[in-house]
Amino acid sequence: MFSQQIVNGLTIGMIYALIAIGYTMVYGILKIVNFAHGDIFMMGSFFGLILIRNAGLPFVAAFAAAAVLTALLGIIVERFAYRRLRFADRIVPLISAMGVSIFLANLAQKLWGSEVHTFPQVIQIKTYSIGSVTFSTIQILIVTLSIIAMIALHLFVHKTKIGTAMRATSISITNASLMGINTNFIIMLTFAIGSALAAAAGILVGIYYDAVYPTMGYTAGLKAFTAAVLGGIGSIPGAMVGGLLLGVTENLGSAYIASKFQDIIAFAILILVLIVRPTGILGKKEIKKV
Amino acid sequence: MVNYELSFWLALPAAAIVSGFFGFLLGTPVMRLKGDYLGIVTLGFGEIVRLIFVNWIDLTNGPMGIPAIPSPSVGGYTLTSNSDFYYLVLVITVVSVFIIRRIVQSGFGLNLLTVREDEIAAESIGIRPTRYKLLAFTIGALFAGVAGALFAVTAMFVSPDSFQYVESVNILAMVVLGGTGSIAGSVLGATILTVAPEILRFISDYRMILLGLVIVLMMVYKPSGFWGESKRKRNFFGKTGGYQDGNLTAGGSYGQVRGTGRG
Repeated sequence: MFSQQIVNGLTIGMIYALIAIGYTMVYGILKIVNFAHGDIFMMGSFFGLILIRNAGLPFVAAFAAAAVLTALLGIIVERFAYRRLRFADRIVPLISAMGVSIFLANLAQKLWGSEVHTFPQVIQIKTYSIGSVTFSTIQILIVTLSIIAMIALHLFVHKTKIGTAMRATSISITNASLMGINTNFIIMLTFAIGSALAAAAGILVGIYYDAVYPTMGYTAGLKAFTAAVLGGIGSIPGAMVGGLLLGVTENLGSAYIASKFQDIIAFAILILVLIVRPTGILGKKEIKKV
Repeated sequence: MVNYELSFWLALPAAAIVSGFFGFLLGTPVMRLKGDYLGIVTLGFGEIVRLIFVNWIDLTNGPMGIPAIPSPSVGGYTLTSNSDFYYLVLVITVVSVFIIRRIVQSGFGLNLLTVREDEIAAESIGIRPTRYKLLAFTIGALFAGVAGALFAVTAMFVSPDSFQYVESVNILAMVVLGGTGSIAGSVLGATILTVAPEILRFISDYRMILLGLVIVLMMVYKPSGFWGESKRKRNFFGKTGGYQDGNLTAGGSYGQVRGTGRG
């Protein structure tokens, strides 16, 4: 029972981590909370669903195409809703992001209806068991794909030239552009990567729970944000740690306390972390200068 | 009112006080957070409260809600028609706006303004930012409680699901549209966003999509709203005389507000 909960928690934790990376990357560079990220995740899930169900693309092609489309969506959102607000008061882009969130959630509802869509069976689902722990093909897929994505992202950020430019931009946009870095491009790229990962998470979660619906972005977004904050917002490894920790805590909580409190646990963690240690587990302390 | 058979006129202030208390309770720990974090924590808190209320069947009857809320009566006359309720809400709104105006224009209000303009400057002249922020939070919650009680008697039904996240966003949109930091702006925004959907009924399917778009456009092109701070500030500074002889701290902070010279 206990180890089973851990396995389930790690699976959903990987999903949270994938979404949380998008939050944390954008926050790291622009210092804004991209509140619309949850809805970008939802759109990614729908893109995947539509491409597989209606366009009949094979799973891998649909997965890649949905990631590209969602990345484009992320770039568009940045261009129209955030770019002009780059130096505004921090609350202004947050409200703008909420506007985007409402816009996307209701657009999805208009386009695809408010009902819960089931995901067509794209992969053979088998269950395996080791001792008392059972896990399915889809859980293995989620964990493997997430780990690959995270390692790739880590290598990209730390070993490539663009990754270095990205890290420089996150330290200071002004100084990075003085060094000849095309910061607009870097910011675009950040949104594109974050959104593509969110799309991957969206499709995986759609298959895992066999449910895709327009309001799925809100709770998932808030939880992924919790994961990002828990791990230390602005830090990519932090998002991974936070996501896994949140997934496991939530699963144990719902198994041993009460299942209906699952969401409450996540939000309580969010409030607690923000109050007790707003920098999270791996975050850096922000020094307030007069 | 339903459970304890309180009269509306007792339930209204009770609702305000309880809401204010919860505002205070939430405000106490979160005051250390800055703008965007604060916004998100309040969203998280909203979700927690809603989830608790949905699951606390004994108190709230869960998602089924509380039906048949009795109508208030004035001196033996029970309010029944729509226009009765209109006047009830109108009177209470006018009174509330008047009270809030008095608060904003008092010495206390000036201190609040100072805290908003520059926390560090405020602190340096002896205004405790946390205290004022907390009080503002509590007062805001108090009036939200009044609105909630009015909503309950007007709709005669409440359920935790009447107060979803969308509702918060709708109210936020009103503030944004009208202009943050301005009472007139809030009233204007609320009026526009309540009347516009009625007029634009033929595109009602797109209402929320448009709402989202409007919020984004407002933030990008006119973050101060249609009747926002710049306008209010001019009026405010135009009437210098009236405020100088407020209480001592108010006089002091007023000078500081000008000294920091924003806008």
